[in-house]
Amino acid sequence: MTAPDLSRPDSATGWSATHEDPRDDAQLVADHCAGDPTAFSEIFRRHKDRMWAVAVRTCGDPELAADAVQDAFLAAYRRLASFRGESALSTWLHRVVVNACLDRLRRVRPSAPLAADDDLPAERDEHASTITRLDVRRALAALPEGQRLALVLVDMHGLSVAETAAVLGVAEGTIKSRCARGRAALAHALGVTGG
Amino acid sequence: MVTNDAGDPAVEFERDPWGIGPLLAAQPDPGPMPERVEERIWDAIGEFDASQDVVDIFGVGARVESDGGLVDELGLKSTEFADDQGQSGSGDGAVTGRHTSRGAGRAHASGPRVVSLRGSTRRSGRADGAAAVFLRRRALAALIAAAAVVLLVLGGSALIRSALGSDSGAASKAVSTLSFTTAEVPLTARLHVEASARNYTHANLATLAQELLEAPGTAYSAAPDSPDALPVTTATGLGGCLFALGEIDADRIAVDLATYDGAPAAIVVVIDGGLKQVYAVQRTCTKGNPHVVDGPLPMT
Repeated sequence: MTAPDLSRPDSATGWSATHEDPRDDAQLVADHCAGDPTAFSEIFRRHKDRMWAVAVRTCGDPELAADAVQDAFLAAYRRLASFRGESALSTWLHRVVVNACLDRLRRVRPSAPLAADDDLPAERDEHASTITRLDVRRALAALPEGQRLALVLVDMHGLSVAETAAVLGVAEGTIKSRCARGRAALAHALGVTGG
Repeated sequence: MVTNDAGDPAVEFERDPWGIGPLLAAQPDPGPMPERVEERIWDAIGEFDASQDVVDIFGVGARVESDGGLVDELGLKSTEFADDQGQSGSGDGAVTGRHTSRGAGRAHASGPRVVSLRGSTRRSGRADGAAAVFLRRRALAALIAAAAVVLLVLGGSALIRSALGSDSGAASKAVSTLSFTTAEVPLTARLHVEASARNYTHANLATLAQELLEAPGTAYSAAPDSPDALPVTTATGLGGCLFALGEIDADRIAVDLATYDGAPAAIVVVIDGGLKQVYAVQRTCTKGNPHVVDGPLPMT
């Protein structure tokens, strides 16, 4: 699944005429910093659903995700002037949201332990199509943090490897490695055969 | 048996022999952000804006938190920063924070106040109601702040009068330690300061800053306030520096009195909300001029 690029007002995302704002994200950032009271509202409108999805999948819990996106958007509102346009605004927002999620998760689970083996679904010979959503969620949650974040951003949210590397502040090769290892671990946990 | 011992990561990434990528991509989308979450976010932003407005109303460095508590810039004392309010700092707009009307983060200083207009744009159909809620909150916050300032004046005067009965030094001490009830965590509880032998450079700034967070060293004891002490080595001076950076309210702050490119510097790492970033500043960083050498650089 590839989410639509909501950072582009002219993309085919089904915006209604009443929501059309011709400004691009960079202009909105500049306008917000200049004191335009409408700019952040538009930024929020464009990115909120995607950031919510990232938070839910990163946190694995809607309540925790709600806390995290609140932290993140408030931080973004306060600190938008520190965004220097070296990456897309959506990349910067992903970074802020992911970090907020990690902060929240670490408060709940300070050591973020891996789940014990018996917390994972038993290995079995089922085809991937029979794997339930709960299985996937539990298996994802049991992955090491770096692998889980890479898979959430690359495979679930359709970010490119380069974008994900920018969000997580690591090299592109690291993202590929984390994805490959994470997928292997997921395949093992879910009993997916192949390879 | 599948193991984590993949071969070339780039090849394995492209191969995805188990089809996990498509499996994950096919997972149901969590859907749009629930309205209650949107409400929470805008409430938080509204409360933040309201606190900013109160700062401007009184112009004395005080602000009202969401719980009505009145705090000064450090969250510690009543008089620490009363001497030179209004210094503009670098004014380069590179950093903004809760104190956007002063210090380095002046991004909003000349623009319209966001809070009173927010409701007209954030959700059509409920704009008037939302604006009214914010305006009522602003009015309430202003009233609370006014009451608190009156109490401050009366209480401070009483303390001064009481103290003057003995000697003026005691009076000064009584005023300087006057503090307020606040839900905010004091700066001292959010701040770690150490003096390491690290030599930071632009290339290693984020990496070494992460080390500072993950493995903090022995806490540095602040030098006594004196004209000879470099500002960031004193508690008061460091507070002013953080204020100038717009980071005084960050959730966590770590400072390393180390070197940057071989020259004495202070490395300031801040975590606020979901944002983590690092600055290198000269040790002459003051409330009036942060003397930023490098940063802010984002960290993960």
